Amino acid sequence: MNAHPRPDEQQLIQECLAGKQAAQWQLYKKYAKAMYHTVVRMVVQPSDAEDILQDTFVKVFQKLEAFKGESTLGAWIKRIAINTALSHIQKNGRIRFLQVQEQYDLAVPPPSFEASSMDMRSIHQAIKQLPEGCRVVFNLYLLEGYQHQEIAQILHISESTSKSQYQRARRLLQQSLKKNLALSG
Amino acid sequence: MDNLEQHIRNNRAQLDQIEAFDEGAIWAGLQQELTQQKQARSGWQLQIGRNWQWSIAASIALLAAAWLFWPQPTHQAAQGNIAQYFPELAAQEQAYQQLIAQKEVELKIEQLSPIQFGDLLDELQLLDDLHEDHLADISKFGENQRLMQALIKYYEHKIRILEHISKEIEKQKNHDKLNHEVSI
Repeated sequence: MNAHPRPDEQQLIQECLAGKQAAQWQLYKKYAKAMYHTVVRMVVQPSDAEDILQDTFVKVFQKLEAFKGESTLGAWIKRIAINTALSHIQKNGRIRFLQVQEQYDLAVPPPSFEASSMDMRSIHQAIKQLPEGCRVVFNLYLLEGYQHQEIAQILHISESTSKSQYQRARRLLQQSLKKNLALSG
Repeated sequence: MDNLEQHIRNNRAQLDQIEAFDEGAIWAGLQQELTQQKQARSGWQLQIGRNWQWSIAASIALLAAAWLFWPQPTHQAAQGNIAQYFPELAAQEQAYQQLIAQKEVELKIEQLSPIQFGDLLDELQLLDDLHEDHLADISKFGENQRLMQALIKYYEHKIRILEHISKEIEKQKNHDKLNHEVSI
């Protein structure tokens, strides 16, 4: 495991730690867009995503000294962004997971669907329309690369719930995109 | 993995380029918050820097007062930070706070060399920052066992770091003493 930040990151981190605003801006500019999109797909509302993004970077600059390079700087910031987004979602109670009708949702194979022509904007919007619980699982698993075991720990659910919520999200996403295709075509 | 999942994974980067957001406003808010926090932290240090003679006199008076009042048991549990949310921990928190204050006085923590103890002092600062975050989390997200444990662990970590500093000072003293004997 890498124990030090990459050389190009090291310089930027040192300058940020020295309080140089230009370096802080550079770091913010480099990662803000990706973090915003990660967060907005989880919380949906742009105003919430903006608040979370600000909180995320406040934490990043406060704790930057603690970053030892165990992951890339981007991955470290993303983890902070995701944790901040999850805390935001959970502040009004636990995440709501709609019960999956396993026999229908999981046993029946998803309808065949040609996705390669789908534009990413429609997919982004369709992800945001998913119900809260399965949307969070879908984002963490497919887009952020978390494993179901990890998701289960973070969200205080069982691994099988994480898997079934993911399948539900996948199915709902396909249905929504197919519907959009039919409407536009 | 079906073709939709594959399509999303293959074009993952595009998903982060879709929405416009007010990057400048967030940056301004971020800078404002960082500046406020910095000012809040440095306010106390600035005052000391400008009036150092008075600060020394005040510190001596404070130490004298602490010496006078420490040994006397208090009948009312001090309402520490954690106790505000978890009253059952008031006594434990008070004991930890007393121990920490006692150790800080013994170590003359304010006079420790930042060159020699910089890392450990930074770690203490980081702990204090995290503690503040956890307390803010309680008011935001409500009380829970995990936060309660994190808050108590803060005191335990702080005591361990102070003990570590104490051992380092002791080691340095022994080293100096040995060098002195050798030179005689």
